Amino acid sequence: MSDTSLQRVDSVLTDTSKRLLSTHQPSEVLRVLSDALSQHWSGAAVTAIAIDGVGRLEAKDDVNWPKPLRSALNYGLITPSTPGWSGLVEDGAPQWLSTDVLEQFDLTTIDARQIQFAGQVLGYVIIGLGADSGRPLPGIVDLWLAQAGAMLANFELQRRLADSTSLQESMTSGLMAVDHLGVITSANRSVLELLSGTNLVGGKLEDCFKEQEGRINFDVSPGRIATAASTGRELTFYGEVSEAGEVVRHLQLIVSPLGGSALAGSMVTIRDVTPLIEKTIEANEAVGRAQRHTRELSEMADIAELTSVFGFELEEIYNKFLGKLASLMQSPKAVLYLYQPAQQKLYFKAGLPATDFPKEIELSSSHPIARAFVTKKATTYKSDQNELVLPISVHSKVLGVVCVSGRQKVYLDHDVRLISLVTARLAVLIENARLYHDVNARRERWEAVFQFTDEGIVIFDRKGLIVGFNPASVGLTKYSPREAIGQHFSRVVRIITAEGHNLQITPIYQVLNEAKTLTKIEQLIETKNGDRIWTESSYSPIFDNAGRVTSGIVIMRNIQKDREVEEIKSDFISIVSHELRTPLSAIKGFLDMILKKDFGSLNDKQFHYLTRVYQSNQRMIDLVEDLLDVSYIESGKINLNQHPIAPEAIITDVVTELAAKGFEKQITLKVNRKQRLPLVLADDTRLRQILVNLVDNAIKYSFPKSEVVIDFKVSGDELITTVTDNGVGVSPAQVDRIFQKFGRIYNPMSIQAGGTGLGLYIVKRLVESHGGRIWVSTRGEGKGAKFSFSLPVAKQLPLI
Amino acid sequence: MAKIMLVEDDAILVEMYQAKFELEAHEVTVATNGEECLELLEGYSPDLILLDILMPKLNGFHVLKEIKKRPVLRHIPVILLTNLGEQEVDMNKELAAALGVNDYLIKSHHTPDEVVEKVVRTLANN
Repeated sequence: MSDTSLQRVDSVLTDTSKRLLSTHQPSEVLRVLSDALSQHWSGAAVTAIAIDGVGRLEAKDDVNWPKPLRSALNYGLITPSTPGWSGLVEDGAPQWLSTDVLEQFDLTTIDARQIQFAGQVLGYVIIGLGADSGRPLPGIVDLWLAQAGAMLANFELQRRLADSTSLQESMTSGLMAVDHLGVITSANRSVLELLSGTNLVGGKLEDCFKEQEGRINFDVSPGRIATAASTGRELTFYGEVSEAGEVVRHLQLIVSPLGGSALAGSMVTIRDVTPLIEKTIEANEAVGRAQRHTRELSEMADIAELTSVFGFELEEIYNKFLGKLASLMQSPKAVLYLYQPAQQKLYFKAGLPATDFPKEIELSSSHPIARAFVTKKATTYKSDQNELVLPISVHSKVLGVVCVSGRQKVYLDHDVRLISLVTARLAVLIENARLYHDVNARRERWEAVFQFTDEGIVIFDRKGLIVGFNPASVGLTKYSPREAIGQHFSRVVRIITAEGHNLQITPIYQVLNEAKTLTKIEQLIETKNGDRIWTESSYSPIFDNAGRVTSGIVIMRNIQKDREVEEIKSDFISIVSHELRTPLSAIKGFLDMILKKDFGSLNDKQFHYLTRVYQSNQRMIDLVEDLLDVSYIESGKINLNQHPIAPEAIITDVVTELAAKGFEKQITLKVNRKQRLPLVLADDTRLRQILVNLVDNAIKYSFPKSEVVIDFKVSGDELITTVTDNGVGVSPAQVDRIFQKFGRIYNPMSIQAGGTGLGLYIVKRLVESHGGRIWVSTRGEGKGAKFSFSLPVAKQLPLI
Repeated sequence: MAKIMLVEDDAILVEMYQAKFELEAHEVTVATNGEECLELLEGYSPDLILLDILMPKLNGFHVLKEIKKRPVLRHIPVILLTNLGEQEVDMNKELAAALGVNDYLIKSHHTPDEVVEKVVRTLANN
């Protein structure tokens, strides 16, 4: 061997070693190695392949290699499944390199060498040698391979270390390695964060947790955690991290033994399980709530059931309700107060325990129960215990107050809602019970009325069949209830005419079909035994809620006696008037004869005074006449024979009759009639009476030498007749009184004028009986008066 | 001169009307009730009957009906003379007209003079 070749070998050797040591990654190692090998064997085709930690190969490629290896190299990845792999695993000549291949590449031999470190194969070097390739120096290739192996192993270890570090550091869980003496040998960053410790490594695990006491409370003592490692079992502990007295975080601590032996130490994992714990707490609460709801629902169902069980005994309702309420609210105390409007107070109705409450509470007091009632609002408050006061209301009417108390926990909105539901039911129950009592009381009262009234009450259904028949009805008709009920109304209450004919039409159809109310109609009925009785009956329909007529009621009063009394009264008036008139007629007649000198002459004084007697007597006669009229009008007995009449003739008569009276005072009567007057519906006698009164009044109150004018005007369906005078007139104050009985006493002129004081009252009533109106207008005292009245115009009958 | 029958139960009124008619030279026969009137009419035929309505025993309408039933009496004019109220008069007027009464006077409305005048006019019309 020459010096130069030795120097060259030496330089390649040291140079290669240096290059290998300064490499930074496995591919660099492979390139340096294959360069060195190809330089060492001039012309040799060399490739170096390294296997990484997970079995991947890295190749240094300088040569065109046979296809299987080539394709693997192209992918940059050769795995045990790569074709040709099996040929690589054996040290020595790869089996896939056939003689053909060698020839093709002009190679004589192929040598494959493993790159190893500590018995572990880290890669391969494949060397193709040509015929002219020299022999390598023994030991040099092995040295390089060993050096490359060491470098590859070093890189692999570095990579693994980096992986594990980054893995540890990136974990949110805290990891601590503890040796068999309980000393912390390593800890990742999360441990520091979770435990807020400084440098834990080197310290004792027990001390680490002791330091945290007060801030972190574990479910066991720090000592217990420290010894857990020695048990050889995996143990889990929990701890709460508190800040300013509040739990902010929950920690889970798992101590796992390493390597299955106490001597190997242990791994401590710390996890922040706050969200998990919170979720668990939430879930537990939800379960609790669900259980409570279930219990509440079942209580509510019980309460709902009470409604049907109780009936309408209020005391029982109150007590059972309070019992249920107390159990629902888990409150030992409950009380019910109800409002009495008459006393303006709340009264104790029921309570648990029964004796613990005031009997009444003034609305004006500051007691929370009074306040809840007045404000209509549920309130919770704290006295010596927690209390919940709630008004009971139905249809926005507050009936009273319920109060539950004595529970340890504060009442929440949920409780208010729940109790509101219950009290709403209670309110309805109370209201129903009250209505029931009310209806009962009413029914009893109505029953009493029905049984004991003097008036016959008959109730009939939609078809007119009798369904109710009270004892007074029996007295009236003489039919028993058994005979009457179920019969048609018209067969039991037989209405007949005064002549005794059966009246076929009964008013009940007007009541049932037209929903008419008929009041106080006088009916003659024939009883079962043929007696005839005058009744005054009122008929009314009975409606259902929808306003439909379902039935009807008749209330009948026996007015037979009234009628008889009325007749006696009427006779009395007739008799009195007859008896009064008879002597008055005698006075009038004799005086008239005396004054007409039938029995000889009279001196002037005798004549004058007897004339006065005659006038006074005449006034008395007029008064009796008017009083009689008033009594007829007021008793409704006035008989108007109203028929179409032509008013002209009557007016002419009246004017003719009164002209003489006017003449005495030099008063002209003037009838202003430009055209034919329409027929009016009137009773001619009464029309005459009306006109006489008005015209006579006009003459009486006129100034001498004036005119009384009668005018006519047709207005709509009315004929308006106006009598105008020029006389003393009417003052506004008198206008209101002038048509009243004896209204004239307010008029100073009237006494002079004579008269009874009933004239205008009778006229007004007569006009109104005709369906007309009467009124007076005046321009003031001393300026005359205008009296107008209207009468209905008779409709023209069509000519047939 | 005419023969007048006055049927009237009140003695003072009888005296009054009698005085007036006699002053006017008429002959007056008086009956103080309905029965008496009918009895007297058995044997007596007046020129005119002045008949009160409200009387004891038989009232004026019954008497009127009897008179109109009897052919010998039917033609005698009858004037009702009453002190009943106008209401009753109204109610009775139709009945009176149906029974063929000639006139209907209310005592307190008319002086004896006016009654005599009515009687004279009725007799003249007949």
